[in-house]
Amino acid sequence: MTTAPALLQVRDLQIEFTDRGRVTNRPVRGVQLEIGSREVLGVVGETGCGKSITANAILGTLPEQARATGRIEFAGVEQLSLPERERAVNRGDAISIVFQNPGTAFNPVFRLGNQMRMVLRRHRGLRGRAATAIIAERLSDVGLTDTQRVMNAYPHELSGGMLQRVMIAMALLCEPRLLILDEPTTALDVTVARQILLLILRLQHALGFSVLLITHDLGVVKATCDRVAVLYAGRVVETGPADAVLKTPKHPYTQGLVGALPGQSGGRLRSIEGQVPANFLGIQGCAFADRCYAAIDTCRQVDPDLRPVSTTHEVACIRGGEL
Amino acid sequence: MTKFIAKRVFASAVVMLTITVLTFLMARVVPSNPAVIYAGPKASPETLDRIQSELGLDKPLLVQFFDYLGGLLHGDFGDSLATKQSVLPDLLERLPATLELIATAMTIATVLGVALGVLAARRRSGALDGSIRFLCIGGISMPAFWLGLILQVIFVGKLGVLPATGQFSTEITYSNPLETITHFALLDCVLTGNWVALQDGLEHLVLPAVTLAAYPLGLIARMTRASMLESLDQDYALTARAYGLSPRSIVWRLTLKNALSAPLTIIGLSVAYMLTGTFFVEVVFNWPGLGQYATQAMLAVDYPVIMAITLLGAAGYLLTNFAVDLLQAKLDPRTRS
Repeated sequence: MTTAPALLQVRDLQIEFTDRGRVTNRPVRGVQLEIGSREVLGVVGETGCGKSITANAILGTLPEQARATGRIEFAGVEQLSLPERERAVNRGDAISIVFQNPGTAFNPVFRLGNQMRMVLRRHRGLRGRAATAIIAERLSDVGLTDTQRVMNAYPHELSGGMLQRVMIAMALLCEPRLLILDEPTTALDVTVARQILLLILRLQHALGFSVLLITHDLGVVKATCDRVAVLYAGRVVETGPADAVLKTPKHPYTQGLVGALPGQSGGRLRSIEGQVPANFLGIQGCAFADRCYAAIDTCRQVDPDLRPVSTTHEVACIRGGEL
Repeated sequence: MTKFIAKRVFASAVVMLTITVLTFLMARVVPSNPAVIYAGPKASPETLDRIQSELGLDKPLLVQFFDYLGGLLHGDFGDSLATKQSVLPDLLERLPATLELIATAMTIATVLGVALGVLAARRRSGALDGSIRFLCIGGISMPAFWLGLILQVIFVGKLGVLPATGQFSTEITYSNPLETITHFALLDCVLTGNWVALQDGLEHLVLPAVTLAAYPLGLIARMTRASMLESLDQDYALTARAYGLSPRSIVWRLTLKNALSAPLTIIGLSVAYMLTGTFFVEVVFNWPGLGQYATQAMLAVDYPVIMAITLLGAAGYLLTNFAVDLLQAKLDPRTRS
């Protein structure tokens, strides 16, 4: 754990979806996260385990029918109790986000430069030349040299990799303290994905922002993250330094994920049997018990909380110490 | 872009020529002799023969067609069978009043339709959304002539705040006579600074314009609402939110531009509706435009006039849709290739 006060602290975050007063799903069931300043935290898990919606809750862009409870502290200020207007002030400024699919995240009918200008005008009140100068600087920061052409381009005129660079440039326009990356390389070619990751790391070193990296790719975590939190069915099941979690995973789910990495099991590709439940409302006991090789009877009755296995490594499994 | 325009101009020319052929053929195929209409019921066979050759009806059909086409290219639509006058001057005299009416109605329908559609989408499923949708159904389902009568009953009969019929009050002719510059009455009022006549003209314009606007307004509002809801659901709308932009600028500055494409098509099609819809409205409100002229021509089987109006309508329709396509390309860069 970092000794300095954390930049972002998420405590017991619960998110419920309601339809006319009735709870229809609970995609996040008590998530704990902490990101120190200049720290890169990876959040991993399969599709549908609550990663993206947690990011939305941190940003304050949950859909209308969702309700979040718990605490989200950013720079010492509790966010969930803030009115929407005050949360919007932070978005794109102190907290910024890069989305998974740059091809749909940009508005197709506006020039990229104008889309970036809207952000600068909103948060810095800048227009005209002052804005153009900052945009050009950020674009060259992300390795786009022909800045004038990029600014004048419409999204469909650039490749996915270039668009993702523009997206990163837009996210960094107002020098955020926390950058959320929601599967930033999933929609890209492997080679391009690698370049983008390296770029993000380089910028993070240079500019010193913190990163919350959402991914389902442990390889990416290994290459980029200081710490990692493994999410399963809306709960953090294991968290700790990336090295420790990947080398000595304590939770059977993390062990499964690590085992599924190509090259980890003697050339054979392994997978975890079964699927993440579609709805988390009826879950009793440990949500992973049905897919777990080590499950015992107690697992189906008790939903374990995170317990330390070392000073920095925590796991939410009643057999966590022994496995 | 120039290639796109050139292509469209060529296509429009082909369509126009086809329509000319069709209207010409239809006029010749319908079993009724133009010479009889021209000469009247009591003409002798010799007179009929003379008129037939005068009108060129004894020539082969193909020659007749090229004569007609040649005339068209010189702006000659032939002579009216009923009034024996050249069609074009009559047409030009009545066209401005109709264009003023259509333009006003189209502006009302577009501005109000888009605004209502966006408001309804912003307040999805709320009371405002419900009332706007109700209004749209009303506008779409009420026949124009009936709506016109109802509006006359309310605003003229009950409230007495607006004039019932005509383009100007009769008194205006004496107190503030109109000077003609462009033949567009309201525009002339502005150009000559005749504010009394302008106000009077606008008061006369309100009811027919609203009547004519009702149907396209309903369509445009519904289409805008649906298109706006779809657009607000896209990733780029979430991006805008995630970058702190206010709901107002997300709706009016960003997503509206994405959403305008579908209603724009409807706006183009609405012009076609208006060209015929205006005939009913002009009769109800005694508007001195093309409508009455056209209705009289139809009742009298006055071919040259009917053909001229058909061609005019087709040209107007092609022109608006051409403009819509250009706007479409302006709005969405992806359609420009």
